[in-house]
Amino acid sequence: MYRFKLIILFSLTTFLFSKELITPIPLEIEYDKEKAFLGKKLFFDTRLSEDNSISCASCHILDEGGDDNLQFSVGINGQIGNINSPTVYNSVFNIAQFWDGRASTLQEQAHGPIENPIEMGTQINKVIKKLQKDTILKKEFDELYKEGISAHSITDAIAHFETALTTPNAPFDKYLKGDEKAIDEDAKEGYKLFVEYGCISCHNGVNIGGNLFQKVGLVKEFETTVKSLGKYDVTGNKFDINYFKVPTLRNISKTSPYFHDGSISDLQSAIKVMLKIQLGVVASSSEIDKIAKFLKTLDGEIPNIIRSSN
Amino acid sequence: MKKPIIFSILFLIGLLFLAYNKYDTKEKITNYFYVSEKLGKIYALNNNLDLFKSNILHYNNYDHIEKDIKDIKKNFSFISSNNSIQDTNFKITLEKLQKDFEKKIFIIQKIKSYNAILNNSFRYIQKLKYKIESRELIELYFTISILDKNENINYSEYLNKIDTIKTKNRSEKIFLSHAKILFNYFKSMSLILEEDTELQILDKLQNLMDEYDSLSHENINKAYILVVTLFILLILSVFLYLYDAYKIYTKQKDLKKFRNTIENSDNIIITTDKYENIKFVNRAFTQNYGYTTDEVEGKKPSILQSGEQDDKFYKELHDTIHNGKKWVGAFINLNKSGEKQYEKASITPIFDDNGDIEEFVAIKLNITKEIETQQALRENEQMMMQQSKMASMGEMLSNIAHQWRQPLSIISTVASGVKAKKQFSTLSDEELIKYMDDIGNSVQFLSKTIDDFRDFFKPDKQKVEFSAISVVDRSLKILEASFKNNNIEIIKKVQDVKLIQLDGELMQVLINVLNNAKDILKENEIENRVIEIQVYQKNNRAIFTIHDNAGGVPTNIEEHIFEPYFTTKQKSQGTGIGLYMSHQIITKHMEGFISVENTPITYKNKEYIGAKFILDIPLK
Repeated sequence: MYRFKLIILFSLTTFLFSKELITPIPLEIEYDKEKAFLGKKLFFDTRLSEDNSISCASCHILDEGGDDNLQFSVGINGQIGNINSPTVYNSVFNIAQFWDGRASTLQEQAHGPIENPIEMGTQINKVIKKLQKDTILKKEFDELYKEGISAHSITDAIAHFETALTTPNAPFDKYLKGDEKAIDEDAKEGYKLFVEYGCISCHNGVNIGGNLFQKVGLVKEFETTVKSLGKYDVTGNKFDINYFKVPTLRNISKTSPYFHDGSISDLQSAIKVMLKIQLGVVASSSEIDKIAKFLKTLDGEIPNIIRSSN
Repeated sequence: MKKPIIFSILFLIGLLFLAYNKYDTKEKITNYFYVSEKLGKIYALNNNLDLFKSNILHYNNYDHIEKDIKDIKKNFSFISSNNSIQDTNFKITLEKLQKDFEKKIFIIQKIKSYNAILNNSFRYIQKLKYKIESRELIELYFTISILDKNENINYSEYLNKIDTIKTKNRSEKIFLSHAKILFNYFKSMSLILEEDTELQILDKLQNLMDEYDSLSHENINKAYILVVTLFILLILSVFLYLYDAYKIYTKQKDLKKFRNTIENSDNIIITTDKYENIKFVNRAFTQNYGYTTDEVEGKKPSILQSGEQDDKFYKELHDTIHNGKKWVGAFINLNKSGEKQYEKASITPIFDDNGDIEEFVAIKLNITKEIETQQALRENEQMMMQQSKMASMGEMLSNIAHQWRQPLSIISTVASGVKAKKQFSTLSDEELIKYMDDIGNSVQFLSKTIDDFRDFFKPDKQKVEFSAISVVDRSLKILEASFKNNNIEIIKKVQDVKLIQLDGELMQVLINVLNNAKDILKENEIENRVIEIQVYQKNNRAIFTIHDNAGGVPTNIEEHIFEPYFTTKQKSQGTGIGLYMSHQIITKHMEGFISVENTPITYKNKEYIGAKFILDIPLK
């Protein structure tokens, strides 16, 4: 045990001394560039849908905060989805993917919409056959993957691309790094309120959310028309009823409408609802404005991979 | 040669084995530290999670917790993918623990969610406490403020109590709703913490680490013992090798000495392979033949043949040595400049371990000089023999003269008597016949004498049959007159021994010895002179003894008397080769012995000392 104790001493521990509740997005993130560029092509490729009408980018508009600003997304044949599309930005930092967390990795997630009948509505094998006909694309796959075009390589490439989709250098990140002027006084006060009212209890970490499943409607019930029971749909565990993945607040100003049911379209209202049903707090409208101002400092830079082409 | 190879191979195998084991041990140790480190990390990460559990009324950055959870999973997969662990029990325990950790992670997820709720409500209540007035609520607040320290609280009781409290104050309403949340979630929290305690993760982890520790130590100890044993074995084999090398070294030293001896030997030494190609010649060879080593190496020794020995000779030699036998003989060979040389040689086959002929070793000695000396000696001897005969002849002539004196004077007397009687006419016919008979007898005597001498000088050296009596008589006959003149009495004790020998030469020896006896008797002026001649047979040998009474051989010259040119006589009389020749004839020609001793002899009632020559001759 002696040796073990030594080792244990050394790794004791970041936890005790880390009081930083929100951390900036790292400027560099590791991913395979070639695979990410291939993933980018696939991300915009409508052949991933049954009738070649929809690509990933249809619902995750990269210039619009990584979602589609619709309450529910539109799938093939104009089918309307049953849950709000979350942003694809910074999803790499999430504990899991989808509101209910049913995919534990980005790659797993990428598979979902392709075969979801009301989204892309196809089968991955059909997609592979379609893509095989594209000799240029096939060649690119063959160069990067031993197996060529496959369910694995398609989703892996997309996951690599999505890994690259981080939005660093938000004003608040700069503020965290010591640039006092990066955000104004209201935003600073907003952040203080954000902490004081306990928003930060659930929205913390690098993604300001995304690292916790929490019950929606803690203090007061969350009234919604959406049928999803959150994590319960995945685990079947009673405890998990109405447990959803806490969404990221990064780029929040660009990702309305809000909540998994997309029921609220303006930020102030969303803050108000959250304070009311989750925290049991009544806040003044000026306080809410300040919190909103703070939240707006979380808009980061569009990642390079979107602008550049290979 | 075999031993060192075996040693080397064993040594190499040992070394490889050691290297492998060292590598293996190193790997084992590396693996041990690797797994230990991972287990240690899991232990530390688990501590982090437990620390988080006790921090439920704090803000937390869940990224850190998620990272810890991820790391725990990662470390587990590191350990289970490390194939150094063979122990199935350990693997099973590890798997169980991994499953328990899954449960714990699930619990932690719940705690995260509770933490957010409890922390918020707890903090909000801190804010609201200034706005509450009801005594009940203040009391409730105090309970709440120590809620995280007090485990024995009956949450349900408080929850029921809260339900009964009614207030119209808005802040108090909010306070109550948060108090309800707190009690509710503290209750859930206590249940889930109980669940966590039941998992006994820490104990299990510690047990696992202890198990791994003892497991690894066992393995490492085994490896260590193996390495030490191998090391000792290696050292031992090195010592054995050194000992063997030392033995070989001393052998080589001996061998070198031996080789030096061979190299510098006066004997010519040649070794050839089994096909008789020369492999080695020593210095004596090169000096002897004038060939250099390079000139003869790989060639056959037949290059030395002179051609004077026939094919049969060489065939016999080859047959002998190729049959594995030693050959001994003589060669007549030529050296490089074509000079003939005589060699005494032996050729020995050398066998390998299987008993097959591997090589031949010839050891030769150049005996040319000895042969030449022998030839010279032989020539010398012949010359001396001639000399001795000549000397004998001289003596013979004087003997003849002695012999002839009487018959010649008889003839002369008779002749002058006949002449005078005729002048005086007193010669009767009877007288004349008597006188003529006398002359005839005398002439016959003369003629016989000549015959006797002629026999002596007969040059033949053929062995003939004769009797000892005859040879003694014939010898004495020649000397008869001379002995009579010198008043020497001859006593004969001769047995009738039959010999097949060199008759003439034996006579020569007898005459020689008898003559010497006569001379010495004369010289020493012995009054009553006697020579006793004895012949008898002893086993297959005839023994002749000639014993005089002249006083014996002086002891100071006794050992020299058979040497050539040694004489005690005056110059005119002796050549000094008489006894030498006698010695040569007896020992070399007849393979007998001749010796002399001084022994007493009684003659006419008087005892004398005299030389006794003893000839010991084989009958054939």
